[in-house]
Amino acid sequence: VPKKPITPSLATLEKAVAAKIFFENLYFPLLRHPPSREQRRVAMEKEMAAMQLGEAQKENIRRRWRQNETDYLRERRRKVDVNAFVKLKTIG
Amino acid sequence: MSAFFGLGKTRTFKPRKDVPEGTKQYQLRKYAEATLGSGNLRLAVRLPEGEDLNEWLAVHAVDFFNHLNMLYGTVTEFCTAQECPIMSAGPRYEYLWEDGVRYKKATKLPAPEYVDALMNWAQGLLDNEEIFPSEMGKPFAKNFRDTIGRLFRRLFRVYAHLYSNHFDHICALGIEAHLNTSYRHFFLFVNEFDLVDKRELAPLDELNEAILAEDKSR
Ligand SMILES: [Zn+2]
Repeated sequence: VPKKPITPSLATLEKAVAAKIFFENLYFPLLRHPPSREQRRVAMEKEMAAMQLGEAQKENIRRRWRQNETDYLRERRRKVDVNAFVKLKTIG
Repeated sequence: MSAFFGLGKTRTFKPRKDVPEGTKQYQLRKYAEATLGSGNLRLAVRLPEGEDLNEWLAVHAVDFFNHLNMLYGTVTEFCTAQECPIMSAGPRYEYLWEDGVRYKKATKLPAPEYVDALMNWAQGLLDNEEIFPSEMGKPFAKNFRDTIGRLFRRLFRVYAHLYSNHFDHICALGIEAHLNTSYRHFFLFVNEFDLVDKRELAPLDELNEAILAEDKSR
């Protein structure tokens, strides 16, 4: 079967470049070792060790840290900007 | 609502038995090897210790919706009613659309109309404060898990269509590694939390198996 040549328009090429940048910015840090959330957790543990806190105090701080991370996820979801939503195509 | 969607599960997914399996899947597997970086996505999908499962599912739902918006947006000029007269994942799988509102019965739609309906439906869910609370501290509804299952099942169909009908276009645009990475992430997430029925994932079975096998060999 002879294949049709693919000749994308300029608009499509622009969308492809935007997608490239979007995914590379997303995945290069995400695939870093160790993941950023783990880095934050380790940093917190180190700090607490340096401060010589008691176990109960530590657990309290950990709980607040976890809540903070949860809030961060919700915040991230809220920030879904309407502009990022490229209206696909309106039905006729 | 959920009873209705339960029915949709069997009525809107039509595997065709009459089309033999081709070599397309093999081709796919070969090209699907290109990804962004070699980091461990399996680790990235795991529920972080102490995190709320629903919050984790919700943020990923939004993420993958955005991924698909980006990815499908790059093929809209190729995905036309002429080129893709039915929503399908290759010749063996076709999808019917049913949303209980505009399409009360399972309906055959050209792929661009199907994807448009699907993404608008998904956007409606994601914007619904009762389903995806954005206010701090507001809890998720009891049936959130069912909603998430429906959403991921449908989002999968867009990935399946991209791979089966537009992979050549994606390659021509040089974004196959980007699609592959996004899909790997999506599939590993679905697999981790068992969000989509195995039968529904069949159109990309070979790719899925390759992802799992590669993941194990790390
Ligand atoms: Zn198409």
